[in-house]
Amino acid sequence: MRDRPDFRLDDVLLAEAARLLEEGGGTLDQSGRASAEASAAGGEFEARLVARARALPAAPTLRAALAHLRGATLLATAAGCVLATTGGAGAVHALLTASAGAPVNVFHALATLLALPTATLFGWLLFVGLGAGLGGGRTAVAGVLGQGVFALAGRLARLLDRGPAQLTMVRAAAHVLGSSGAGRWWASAVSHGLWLAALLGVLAALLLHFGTREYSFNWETTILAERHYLGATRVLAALPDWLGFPVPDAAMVAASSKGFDTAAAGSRKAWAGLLLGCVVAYGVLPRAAALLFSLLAARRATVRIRLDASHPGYARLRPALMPMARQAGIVDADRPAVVDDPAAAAEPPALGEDGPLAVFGLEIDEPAGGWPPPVPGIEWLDMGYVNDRTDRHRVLDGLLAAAGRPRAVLIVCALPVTPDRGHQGFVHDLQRRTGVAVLMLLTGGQRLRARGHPERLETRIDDWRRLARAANVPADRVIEADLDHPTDDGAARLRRWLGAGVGPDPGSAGGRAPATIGPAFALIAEHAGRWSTAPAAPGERDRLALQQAIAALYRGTSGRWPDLLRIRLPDALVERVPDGAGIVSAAERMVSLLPARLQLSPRWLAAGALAGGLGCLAAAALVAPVAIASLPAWAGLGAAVSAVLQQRGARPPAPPAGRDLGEPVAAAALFALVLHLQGRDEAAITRLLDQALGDGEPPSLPDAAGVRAWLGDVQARLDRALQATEVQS
Amino acid sequence: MNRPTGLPVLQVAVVGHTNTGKTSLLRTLTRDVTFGEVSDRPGTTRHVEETVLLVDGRPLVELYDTPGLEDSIGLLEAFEAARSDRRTDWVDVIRGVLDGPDGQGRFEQEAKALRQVLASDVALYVIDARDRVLGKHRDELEILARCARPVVPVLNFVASPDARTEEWRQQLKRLNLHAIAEFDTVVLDGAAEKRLFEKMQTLADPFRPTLDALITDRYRRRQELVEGAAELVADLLIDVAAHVRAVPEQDDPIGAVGPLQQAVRDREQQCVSDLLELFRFRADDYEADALPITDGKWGFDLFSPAELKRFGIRAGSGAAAGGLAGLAIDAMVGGLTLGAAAVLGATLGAIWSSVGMHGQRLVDVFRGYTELRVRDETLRLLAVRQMELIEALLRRGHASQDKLRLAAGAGAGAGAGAGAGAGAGAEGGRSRWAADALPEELEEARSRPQWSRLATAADRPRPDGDAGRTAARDALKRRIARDLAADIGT
Repeated sequence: MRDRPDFRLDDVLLAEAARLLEEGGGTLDQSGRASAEASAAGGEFEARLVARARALPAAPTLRAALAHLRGATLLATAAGCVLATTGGAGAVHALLTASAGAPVNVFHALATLLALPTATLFGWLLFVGLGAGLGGGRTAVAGVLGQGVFALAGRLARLLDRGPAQLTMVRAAAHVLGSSGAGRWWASAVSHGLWLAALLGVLAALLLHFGTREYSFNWETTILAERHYLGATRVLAALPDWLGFPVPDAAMVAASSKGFDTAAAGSRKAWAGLLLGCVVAYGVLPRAAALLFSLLAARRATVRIRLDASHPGYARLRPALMPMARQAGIVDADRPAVVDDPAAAAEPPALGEDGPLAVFGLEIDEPAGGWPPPVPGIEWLDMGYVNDRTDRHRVLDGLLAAAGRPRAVLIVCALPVTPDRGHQGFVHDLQRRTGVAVLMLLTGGQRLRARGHPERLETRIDDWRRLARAANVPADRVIEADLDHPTDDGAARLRRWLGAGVGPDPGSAGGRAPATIGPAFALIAEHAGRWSTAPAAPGERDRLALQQAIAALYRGTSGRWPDLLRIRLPDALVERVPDGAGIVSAAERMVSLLPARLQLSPRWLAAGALAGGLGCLAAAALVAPVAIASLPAWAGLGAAVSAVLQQRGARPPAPPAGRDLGEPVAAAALFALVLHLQGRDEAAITRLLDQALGDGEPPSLPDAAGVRAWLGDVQARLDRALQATEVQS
Repeated sequence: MNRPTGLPVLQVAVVGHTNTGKTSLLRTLTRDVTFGEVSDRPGTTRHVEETVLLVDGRPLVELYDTPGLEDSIGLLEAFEAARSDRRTDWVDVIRGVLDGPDGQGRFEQEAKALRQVLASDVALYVIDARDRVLGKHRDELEILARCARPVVPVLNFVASPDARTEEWRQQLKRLNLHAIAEFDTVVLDGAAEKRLFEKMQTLADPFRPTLDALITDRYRRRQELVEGAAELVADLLIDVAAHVRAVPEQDDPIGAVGPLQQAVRDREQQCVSDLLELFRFRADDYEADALPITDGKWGFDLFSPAELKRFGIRAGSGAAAGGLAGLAIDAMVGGLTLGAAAVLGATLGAIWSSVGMHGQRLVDVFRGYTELRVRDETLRLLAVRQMELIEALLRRGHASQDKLRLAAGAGAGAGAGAGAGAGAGAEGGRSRWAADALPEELEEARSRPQWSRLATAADRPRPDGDAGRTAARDALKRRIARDLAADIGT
């Protein structure tokens, strides 16, 4: 790893503490500003993490916590040193004053004073050596005293400042130092420092005592011989002698054995010198060397400390700090175009009086209703489909060369196709060069709606109308009609529009659909009122009459709700009686629009199936009222309902006790709701049904007042739900 | 880690007929929803906008969004008219027309797009696969071919039911375009994105190492995202599993049920917010049904039996009905139950840490407290719900309602749609959670109440926050997160 001089331990600790805080309590960067600053700063990921930590609003608190921790560490170390020094001095004091007046046992004193420090030093060396030998493993044992001091420092810091920042900073320091090896070296350094302080205390106390009082020394032994001590003295004295301390020679050793006269001149000084020298040479100096070594190693390890960027707490920040992409701005700006509108100048050509009506499809799929459009009583001049450049030229030439001059040309455009300038230019050119009036029919709306996002249909129609305007085709020469789902109604409408001069789109006989569901519900209430006073329960014909009335209300939107219910009427114009399969599929479809909750109730299932089946019949009735009178299809209704119930694994519900209008009213209400909500996508319809219809089973409504009350509830809920969707969109 | 130094920067022009999803494609590739402007109207993009794909902060690919081509038929006719001499090079002809009056006027938008193509190394030609193959598309492709730049057709909206993918492939082959990429900016597919880059590699060989670096980086970031999300969920699960609430014996435990449920709901909500933040989700960029949550909140209550059913999680026998769903009551009074044994085990095992917490629990035993904990089924439901959210977020893009509704398991109601996007691995993973036993890591968490960060009873202050954070908890969290990440699937 390369050394990166800009990383400081402070930064790493800050970042670690921030990470720990965020892992525990959610992000610290609520406004996103710190991350934004950091990613703008650039550089490697680790550098950005540090920059972010620095820019956090919590950073000053964390820095203060770090300062506290530092202070606490220094305090703890200082306290430790003081304790150690005192301890050392105290040990000497105890040693030398224990035997008042009696000679000091030199070797015993040496052992007492130096055994422990030396042993721990060897221990430290061993563990460090082992650690290095094992490939730098983390031997936690090294520097035990130091770790104790750090733990104390942590406690102290937390005592001073109980906040979570302090807590976290202590943990962060422990984690960073502990996992990098630097902690071990720092702990060792403190350990050595403490021992050094203790030994210096020993030294100082010895000097004090030897300087101010007169001591005599001897040595004793039970099992060893004098020559052992001679040898030992010689060995021990070597280093102190080299350092310049006075040391005893062989004679003094012999003379100092217990029992002999110990007051020989010079020997006291020599023995004192030996003691002092040994403390220095075998206590202070090694520890000082170890301290230096540890400090150097700690320094080096600290410089090497890095953030572990692969830690999940950091990796989580990567998407924000190291974005995958960067916007680089606009290369070729849009100049606000000077819109010269040549089309606005000229008058559009007038419609001809007579002659065929030329028609071609512009980039459309073959309509399901057939080609040319199935409008009765029109003389078509079929020019086929225009899909590419060649076709465009062909049509242009064809119109120019047409023998019987067409009175207008109907361009059938597809709503799923995005209108573009190519279309616009073509239409404009066509009208200008041939002088024939252009009419435009926009088809394929259902297919566009089926793609989802029903609001896009309105936008698309608007775009095509704009294109027409820009191509000099007046607004009343553009109509929207779906040729994939032709209905008699629609055909009649087109005929009127195409035939009797072209005025505004006449819409349909029924006018626009009602704005709220109120009229439909009023119809239901009215019928229910009649049923409640009738002798028998409402039969299928009565229910069908109600559904037809509701369907008539929504006539203005013809062509859409039968598609929603997937009602397929037979093609033959004469017989518009739907077959059993058609009724079943419509029943299925209505049931599938129900929310899941209601689908668990067999009574709602039955109501839904009935509504669907009756809806199918009502659709048929809309176009060919005559056929209904001869319907043998009532059996089909019952079978459809049972089929749907069986498929869902529900048992047919028990017939209600007494006069209960609940089910027929529920079925009619469902039908009205679906008709009212048509035009939205299915998920939205289901959601709105869920919110409008409330809980549980269809209500039991014994009389007209109950019916009105229930319908009023449903209407209120529906209005609320619709308002909510209005607000959202 | 390899630093992608010295890699050549690839310049890509994204062109196509108007309203085919070029800007959406770039938003998806850059994961940046603020880029450009998207609408369903023609001519939305009216300038060339650049965005740069970065790897480790270094730019590797420059992408240029261009205005849609609208009048290519006219444009090709203009080129052909200008090419009076057969021997003139097409590129020169094109430049000539673009620099001429038409290029500033009638074909201004097309000119910008083509100039960008001429300045780039590769062109991506974006196609709305739902459109029929028409003359104008062929003309556009011919113009691009004349620009002498490698062209990768990108079929967009391939996941739509009325996509005509096969028809397009046939037609493109006839024009000698064989390296075709499929994409769907509605349902993001990491594999499709990779294939797009690979197709670009085949056509622009000098940039192979650049695209390799990009592919590797994308994969790595996705993995990190999954792991990060799994960590958040693992944290949630540990917090909820370990949580124990003590109720004095004389009090009715039902009264404590409400607050406990609310605490768990709040904790789940926090996890959801964290996940949304991790994926840099913005509420106004998504359709309401794109994610299984609305307004950043789960709509269905965590504790309703219907929600368990929706996810196909079978409740254990003796599940309490109504409001008690989701809780189990370990009566600790009068003898050792499983709950008390867990306490003792934990106490003996962790006698050195958090004596305060355990001491309190032991006192609770003797004073006769009832312990409320969260049931296994709720834990499983938490896991499965969050995994569903994560999978939906991984597939972020503009919404397609059908595709993002995931399969809810065998026992779910008939209304759930089929999740075509969920791979077999993901299904298996979630059904692992939906099955009976909790993973053993969570069982272990159950015996460590000090690991839970949820507040305990209102009258007892939270223990020292540090007590919950131990290395052992972190290790356990990693294990659970690894399992979850593996279950989340591709």
